[in-house]
Amino acid sequence: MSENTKYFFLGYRKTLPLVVGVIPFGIMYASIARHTGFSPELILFISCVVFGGASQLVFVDLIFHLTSPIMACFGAQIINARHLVYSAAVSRDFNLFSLKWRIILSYFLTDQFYAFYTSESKTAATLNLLEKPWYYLGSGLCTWSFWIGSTIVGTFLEELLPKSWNLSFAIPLIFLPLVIKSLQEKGDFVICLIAAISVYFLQKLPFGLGLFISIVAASLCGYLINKKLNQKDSSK
Amino acid sequence: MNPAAPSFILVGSILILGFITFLYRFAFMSSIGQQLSHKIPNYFFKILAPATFTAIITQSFLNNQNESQDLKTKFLTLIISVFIAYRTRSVLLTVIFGLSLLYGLEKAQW
Repeated sequence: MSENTKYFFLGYRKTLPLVVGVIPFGIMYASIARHTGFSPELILFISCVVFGGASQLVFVDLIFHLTSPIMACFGAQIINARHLVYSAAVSRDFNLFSLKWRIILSYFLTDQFYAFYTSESKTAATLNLLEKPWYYLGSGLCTWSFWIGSTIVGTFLEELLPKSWNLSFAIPLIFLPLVIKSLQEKGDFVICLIAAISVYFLQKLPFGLGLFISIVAASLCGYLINKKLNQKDSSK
Repeated sequence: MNPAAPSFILVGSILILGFITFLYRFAFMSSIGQQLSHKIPNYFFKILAPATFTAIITQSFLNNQNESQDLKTKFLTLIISVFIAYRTRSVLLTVIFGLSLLYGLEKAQW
């Protein structure tokens, strides 16, 4: 086994505990997509092209409720905006790699990949610039293989899942812990409140525009509120 | 929109979504991104997360109910699930608990 292969499998093995949550998520995505009428080929196609769990769920949900694929695409890509933060975080290390490696590894930059990057930085620090990309590739392919595998399982298992299980209700449930984890400052609670109220009042707007207006409005209000709170705290 | 009969627009939208997602991930690894990385405040992206997730929860919740009884059951499930999510911070546990609770409430015709 070459050195590169060794580091590839090391990255793969070390990512395994992080992908436990990917399996039910992938099954859930595929099941919801099947419930909403997507064909198995299209479900797998979305998983391969997008490779972003939450955004895929939102995409199929919006397609089902909004009728416009363009607006669904617009809505789903907002979810992935957090990948910009991941991109900024890993860029210091990854910008030392060749362009080819940066392009390949960018595709795998998911929540799990970022978690691996932060938790396994000590091991990565002992590797040289030729070994590191293989190490990260192992991690990325680990998540990818489990995601695709669970998508396939979910696609065919869907036949066995009754509608009384309310699988589509899993979407708001999935995002609850993510919201709680994202609350960092006092003003963040106000952001959530503004977003929820705004969506409620704008729900009748066509193409789900209410969702996008709410996100923008809540973000801007939150930015101003947190800025004001921080100024108040620093003046004390 | 009928996803069972994929149209050119639907497949195109998926490709665009994939491409934009890739651009997000590649943004700070491109030559322009390397220069920009120090100028854009990370704080803005942190704010985007709670705003986006809450909006999605609300939208999805509103889309999910058909009648007032349904709304009542799902609202109760959501409120209790907030507590579980807060205590465990686990997506998996929250989903399993929430769906089980909803199933139980609907069976009991609460």
